[in-house]
Formats: sequence, structure tokens, C-alpha cells
Amino acid sequence: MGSEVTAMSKATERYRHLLFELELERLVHGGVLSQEVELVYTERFEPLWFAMSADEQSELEAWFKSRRAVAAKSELHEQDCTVVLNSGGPPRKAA
Amino acid sequence: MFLVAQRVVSPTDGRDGINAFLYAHPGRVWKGAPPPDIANRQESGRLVNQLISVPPPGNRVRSFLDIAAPDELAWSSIQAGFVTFAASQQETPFPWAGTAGDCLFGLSMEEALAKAWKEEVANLYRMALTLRLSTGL
Repeated sequence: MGSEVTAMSKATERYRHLLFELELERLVHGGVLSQEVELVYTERFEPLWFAMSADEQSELEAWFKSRRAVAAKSELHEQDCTVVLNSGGPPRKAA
Repeated sequence: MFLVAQRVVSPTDGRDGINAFLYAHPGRVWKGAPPPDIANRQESGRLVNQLISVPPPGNRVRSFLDIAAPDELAWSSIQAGFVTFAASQQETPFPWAGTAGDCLFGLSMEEALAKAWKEEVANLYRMALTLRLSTGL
């Protein structure tokens, strides 16, 4: 029983990771991927979706609808620095 | 390798853009989390290439993506680690920091950019990828 729950939770986690990977791929490629690439993703999503229980599928759908901006501070309070080729040193520091 | 993509804005004329920096750590190889001197930036490595759209110094940093990885690691492995890292963090506030695969990642952005954080992640990621591929490390 316990291992079954763990396996299903892994499917949910992997589904979320795969969804982020797909979103990132789309954004990096200007918003559109070829049908072939989308089909590969579909084939990777399906077994994960069907490995979940109905409750997990419902939770995932609710999570998908509720996703919003990530919280962040108004400023990072850092500024950039000059770095010379073939030398070291960080490209930014605290402002 | 230490790869940084950071969006900056000029305090004088308001120009906004992403600069990227690639540092090499020749001969340094590891599995799992980077060694402490690299992870802690005590050893930043040697700057081997950069893409500058708003010349430093003194610009305000609005967002950044930091990647520490072995020089020879294939981009496909870096991407896989990044997806794992970012997907696992996406419900926590910025800044994000963590290890996935053989890489250490850091990611943060100011509130105005975080409203569309995935687009900003993609912008930073694309610049980091462009610099890495153009360098031939």
C-alpha cells in the first residue's frame, strides 16, 4: 500500500516536471514546437497520467488552474561589475 | 564552468538587457554537487566568453540565472538538471538555489519580472545556452 502511494506520487511529480520542461521548451523556441516534438511529449505524459489515481488527477488539474506568479522581492539589491576576459571575479555584487 | 545570465537595467539611460558570462574551470571534474570552493564562488574560474547588451559596471541587476557545472558536461545534462531544479522550486518564493545532477543552480528575479517568471526563465536560459554553444567549451 505504502509503495503504491509513493509510486503514484512520483507519477504526479514527474508529470509536473515534464510539464515545466515542455513549457520551457516552447518558450525557448518562441512559443511553438513542431508537431513531432509535441507528439513525443504527449507520449511521455500519457503513462504518467494513467499511473495516477483519480484523486491525484483531480489534484493535478486543480494545481494547474491555480498556478500563479512566484513571490519575489521588489528589488534584488545587486549591481553588475566589469569582468575582464581571462581573469576571474564575480559579474555582480551587493548594491 | 560557471555560467551566468543576468538582466540588468542602466541607472543612467534605462537601457534593459541580458548580459551573460562564461567562466571555465579547466581540469575540475566532479559528480553530484560542485566542490565547495566552486559552489561558494571562492573559485570563480577564468572568464572565457561574454555576451554584453548593457555594458557594466553599476547597472541594477533585475534577474539572474547561475549555473555551476563541469566544463565538459553536455548541455542536455545541464538542461535535464535545470528542469528538475526549477520544476521542484516553482511553488517557493525567489531566490531559488539547489543542486540537480552534477550542477548547482541559482535563480532569482525582482517582483515585476516574477509576474511572468517562466518567460523570464526562458529568456535567461536562452542567453546562457547561446553563450555556451558559441564558446565551444
